[in-house]
Amino acid sequence: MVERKQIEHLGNLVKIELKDPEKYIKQVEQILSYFERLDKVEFDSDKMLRLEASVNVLREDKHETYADDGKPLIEKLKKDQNNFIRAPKMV
Amino acid sequence: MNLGISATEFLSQVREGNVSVEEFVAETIDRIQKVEGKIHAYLTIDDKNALEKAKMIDKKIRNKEKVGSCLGMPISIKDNICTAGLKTTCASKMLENFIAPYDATVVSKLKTEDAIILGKVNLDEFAMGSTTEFSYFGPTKNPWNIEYVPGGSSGGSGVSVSALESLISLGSDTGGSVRSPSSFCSVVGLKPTYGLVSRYGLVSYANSIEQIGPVARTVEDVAFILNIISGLDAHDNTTLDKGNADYTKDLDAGVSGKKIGMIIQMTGDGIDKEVASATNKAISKFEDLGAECSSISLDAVEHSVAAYYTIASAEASSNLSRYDNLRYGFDFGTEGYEFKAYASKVRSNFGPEVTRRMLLGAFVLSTGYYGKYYLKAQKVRAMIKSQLDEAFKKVDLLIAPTMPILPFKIGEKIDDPLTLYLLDINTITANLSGIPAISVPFDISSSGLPIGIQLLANTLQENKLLQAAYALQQTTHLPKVPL
Repeated sequence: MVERKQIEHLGNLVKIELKDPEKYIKQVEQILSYFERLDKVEFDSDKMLRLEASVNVLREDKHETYADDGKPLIEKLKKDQNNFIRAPKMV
Repeated sequence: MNLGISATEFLSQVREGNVSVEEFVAETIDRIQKVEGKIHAYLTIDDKNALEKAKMIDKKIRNKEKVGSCLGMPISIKDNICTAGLKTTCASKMLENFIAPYDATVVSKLKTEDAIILGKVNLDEFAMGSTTEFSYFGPTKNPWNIEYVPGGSSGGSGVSVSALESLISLGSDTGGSVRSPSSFCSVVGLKPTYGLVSRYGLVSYANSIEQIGPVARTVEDVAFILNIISGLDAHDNTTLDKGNADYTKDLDAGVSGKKIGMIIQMTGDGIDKEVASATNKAISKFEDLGAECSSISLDAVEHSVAAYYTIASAEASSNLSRYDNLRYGFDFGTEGYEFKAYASKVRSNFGPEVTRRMLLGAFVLSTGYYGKYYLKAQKVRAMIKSQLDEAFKKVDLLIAPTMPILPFKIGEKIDDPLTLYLLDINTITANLSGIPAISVPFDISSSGLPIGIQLLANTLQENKLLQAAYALQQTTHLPKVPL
C-alpha cells in the first residue's frame, strides 16, 4: 500500500510539489505492485551479473574553450540585471 | 508534384533535374500548412530558412559545385534532439523557450550532407509515453484516422513522414519510441544497436537504453540515413566503431537460407487477432522467399516490462533532476522563494507522465527497495541479453509484431498508465539488450489501420536486419495514406 505520506515524501525527493497527490497514489501503487514480479524471478547466478561488469570508458579530462568565449551559450540564458542570473535565496 | 516518393527517389529526381529542391521544399511546406491543423505533427516549422537553403542548394547544383549526399532532402527532427537556433522543447512546459546553443551530432552530420531541417516534431513530454498524447502542446493525430493515436513517443516523426510532411525524420527510441509510431503510421522505423548512433545532443531520459533512429518511407531510405548518422563520436563515449559498414549495400541480398525465429512470448495472449494473422502472413512470406522459420522461446521477455520501467524510471528521475528553471526555462520569478520551495513550485509544471516516472524512479532507488526492484531489474536485463545470445546461435533474425494491438482512440487509455506500459512488451527487449530492431509496414486492418512487423538482429547486424526488412517490404503493396 502506498500512502499519502509516502507519495508526498517521493514528491519531496524529486522536488515536485504535487498538485493532486491522490491521483498519483493509486497509479503508483498499481505500477509498483506490477513491479513486484521482479522479486520472484529466479536467476542462474553467474551469467546474470555480466552486464554489471561492463566498464566505464572516460575521455581525457581536457580543458576546451567554448567557441566565441561561450557567447552563443550565454546569450540563451535567462538574465536579469547586469547579465546575472537571478536565483532564489539559499537558506 | 508527387510528395509521396521515397527519399531515394527524391535524390534521383533532383539529380536528373526533374524537380528542383526549392519546388519540392515549397510544396512540402504547402502540404504542412494544409494538413497540420488536422494532425499536429510539428512544434516548430522553419520554413523561411528551409526555402533559403533549398535555393542555395539548387544554385550549387546548377553551378556543378560539390553538394552533400542529401541534396536538400527535407527532414524533420524530434523535438528532444538539439538544433542550434531552433527551439528544443521536449514537448514540455519546462523547456518551452529553450534554444540549444549547439547542434546534436546527428543534426550536424545531416546538415553537412545538405539535408534541410524543416522543423521540429511532437513527442510525449521528454519522450515518456507511447501515444504522443503526453505532449504539453497537445496530441499528434494518426493520419490514417485522426481520431486515433499515432503511437509514440516519436509520434511527430511517424506522422510527418506518413502524412508527406517530410521525407525522413529522426526520432529517439528508449522503449520502442521510433518503432511504435512507425508501426501505427505505416512507415519504416529503425532502432539501431546501442552506440551505433551518437546521443550527443539528445536530451537525456534513460541514457543506458536510448538511441536515435531514422523514420522513413522505405528500408532503402533508412539505410541511406543510417550511413550518415552512425559512427564514432568524440562527444559520446558510448559510440561504437562501425568500421567501413555501408548499410545500403546488398539490400536486395534476400533471405534465402536465413533462419528466422518467431518469439513466442511476443505473439501469444493479448495480441490482436488481425495483428497475429498479419504476423503469420509475414512469416509465410519469408518462407516463400526461402527462409527457414521456427518458434523460439525467450521467457525473460515476460519480466521485461517490469524491468524496463524500473530502469527507465530510475534513470529518468536522476536525469530530470537538473531542471531547476534558473538558467533557462519558462518565465517564473524567483522573488520571495527559498531554493527548494522554488524548485518544487516550478517543477510541478512537469506533465503527469513525467512526474509519475520520477516518483517511481525515486521509489525504486530508495533505501530498502533498491535490491528488490532496481538490482533485480538489472539482472532481468542481463538475463534477456543472455537468452538472446543463445537464440542468435540458432537463428539469424527474430520476428514479432511491433505492437501487440492496433492503433486505438485518442484518450482511450490515457488514465491507465500500466495498460500503456504493457503495450511496450514487444519493443523493449531490443532496448534492454542493445540489439537493433526495425518496424516494417506490412498490412492494413479491416478498420483501415496500419500493422507493422518487427525484425530483430544481433548487435551490429544492421546489414542483415535491413536486408530482411527490404525483402519483407518488397512483398507488400500498401495503400496511400488517406489524408
